[in-house]
Amino acid sequence: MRQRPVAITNGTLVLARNRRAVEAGIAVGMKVAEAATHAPDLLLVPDDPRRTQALWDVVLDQLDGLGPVVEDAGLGLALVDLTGAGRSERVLVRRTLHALTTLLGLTARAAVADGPFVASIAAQKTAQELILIPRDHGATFLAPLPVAVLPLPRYAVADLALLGIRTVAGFAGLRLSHVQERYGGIGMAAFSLAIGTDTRPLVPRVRERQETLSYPFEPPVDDLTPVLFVIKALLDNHAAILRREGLVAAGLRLTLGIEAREPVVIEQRWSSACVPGPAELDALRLTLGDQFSGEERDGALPPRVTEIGVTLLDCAPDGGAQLPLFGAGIVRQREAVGHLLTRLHALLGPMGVVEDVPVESHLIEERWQSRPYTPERIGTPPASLPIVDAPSLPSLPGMILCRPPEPAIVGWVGEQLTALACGGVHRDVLTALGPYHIEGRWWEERRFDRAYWFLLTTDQTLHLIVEDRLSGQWTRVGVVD
Amino acid sequence: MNVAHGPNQQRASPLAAFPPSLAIRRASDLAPHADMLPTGLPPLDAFLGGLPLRHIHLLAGTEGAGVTTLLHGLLATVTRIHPVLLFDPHNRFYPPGAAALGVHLPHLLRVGVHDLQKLRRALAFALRESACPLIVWDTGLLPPAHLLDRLRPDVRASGSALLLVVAGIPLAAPGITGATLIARHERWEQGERGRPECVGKTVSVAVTDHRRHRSATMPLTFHYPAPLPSLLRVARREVSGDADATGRGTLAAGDAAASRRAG
Repeated sequence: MRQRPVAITNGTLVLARNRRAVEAGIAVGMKVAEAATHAPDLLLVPDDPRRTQALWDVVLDQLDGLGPVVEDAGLGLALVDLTGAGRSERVLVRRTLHALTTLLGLTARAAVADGPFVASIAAQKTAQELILIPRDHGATFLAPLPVAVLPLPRYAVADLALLGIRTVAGFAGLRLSHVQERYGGIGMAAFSLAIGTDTRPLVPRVRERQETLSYPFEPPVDDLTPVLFVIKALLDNHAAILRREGLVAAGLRLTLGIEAREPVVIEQRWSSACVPGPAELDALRLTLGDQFSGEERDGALPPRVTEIGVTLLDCAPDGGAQLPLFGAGIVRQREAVGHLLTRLHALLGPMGVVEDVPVESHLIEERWQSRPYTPERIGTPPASLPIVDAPSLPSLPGMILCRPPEPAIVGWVGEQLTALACGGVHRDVLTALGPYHIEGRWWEERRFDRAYWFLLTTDQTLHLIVEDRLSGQWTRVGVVD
Repeated sequence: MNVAHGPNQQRASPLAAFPPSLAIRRASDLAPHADMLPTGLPPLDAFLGGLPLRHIHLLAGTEGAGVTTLLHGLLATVTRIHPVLLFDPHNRFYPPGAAALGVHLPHLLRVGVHDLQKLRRALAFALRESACPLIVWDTGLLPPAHLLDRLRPDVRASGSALLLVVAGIPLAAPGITGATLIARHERWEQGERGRPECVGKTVSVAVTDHRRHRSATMPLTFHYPAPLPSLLRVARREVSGDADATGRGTLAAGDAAASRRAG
């Protein structure tokens, strides 16, 4: 396949191509039909992101043996911390490259350098299988390269070109104060890289941790209590590992082996990444209870559990969230709310706890949208400006909605609205404010044509009533309480 | 020029620099009490010292008395800093109205569960987690005493205050251990002279502090962000005895309505 031009497509466009295809003049974004005219023997491969990611995960697993920290810098680029490897760097890297070629049939290029930036540039630019940048020679390697390799905004690169600065060496020769003055923090960061200062620590890759314990339920159990005990032990085990390694998990997958049946798999995503504790166990207990009691209701024999497996999902570094630094109050509050939401989601479902967001609308029942609550909302600063209200009808403080809207009868004396009967109670009207006439969606089936009134009755209650002008019905939709 | 003080010179006390009437207080006196949740309503805070945590409170009143206005005023203060859990089984909460009085909606976790069994379990979870210092339950009717008795140990063990919002005035509330707030409508607030508009509402609140066995009544005024035009015209007339014989008012937006009715 390496000898033939190959292009990965989504059916219409070229998404990626190999070197042979580049030589044939095929570019990314080119239409497939056009690409085929450039190379008659072009091999078209459909894009399969899941399979590609799976293969990339295998590559990253292989790299785990090379160093303690592996950073996933996107498909095709990984960074490995080789600190402590000493002079055996070359041997180790060659062995890994050989393993990738032998086991997976992949070719790879590698570079060893002082920091991740120089290493990734070197690996992408070199034609060799392995390149070693000697210690403290990062700046020397970067010097002849175009300044565009540095993480500078496009306008800055164009600006530098106008000044005649086209290489990294030219940029590194500028005065630091000038760079800071002209390009600010971004320029300072790029300048540090240009002079060979690259101390960014690697970010360990997010990966699933699978910790499956097979518990010998002999004979199999049909009671939830021992199952929950084992699950708690497994979760405690996981929590200890996560704390030791400074990780948090985003959820878990519970696999229950059932005698003479398909295994039961329960996957739960927590409201925020955390170390599993009582809240997560509670959520699992609720789900398990619902599932098993449902089966018993059907009249079947209770399921007999033979094996339990717990897998934590998306374990990631906790980012120091548990350190008592500034802002830790909000972090703790978020954590507590996250635990509460985990429990409530298991009990009430994902829309069990919602946040209401006001939106502009003429209809009062459409003036907000509810979305699932997330702990990230904790710590949001209060709005400095009042929320813009719909001009058609004011939203009064203290108003509650009548659910469902109550049918109402209004009394008129001449042209005056004088009485309101609603819910079996007759009230005299002191004053009426309205009508607020609202009409819309006449092009849809859900068209509306309404007249809203605020009625102040003798008991000093302010009612919001509406006349549906399509049906002629009056209803009370709210009360200012 | 520096002057060295001799030993026989009388030294002034550092406190002499302060005026004699200045009351010096400890910093801890100024800080809010850790077990109290400030309501942001000065008369209420002066009387209660805030809403005590680990207690069950009651907010009640007849329809239109101002219970929701008072609740929104309370939420406006608490949600600025803390998350608040609101159990709204009847889905009566109107978010734009709350936002208009300053409630910070991103800190309001609304639970619209209808099933009482699930609601009680969710309430138990919330009390166990203590994630929200204020939990509001818009119950409609006061829960039975045995339910409050079962809730009380959970509330005592938690770090939250549980506020029950009830429609109507209950004759007795045996399970309430913190404060009872009974709201009554007092008056609609008038705008400036020459501009007859409704700018807010004053609610008279009868407060009973069950911990200290004392009561008081205080007026609390809530201002609307935008005034309502001419709502008070007839209401004021009635108060001043200027209403017509039937007690009925004139039509505020009479022209529009009249033309519509005539058409």
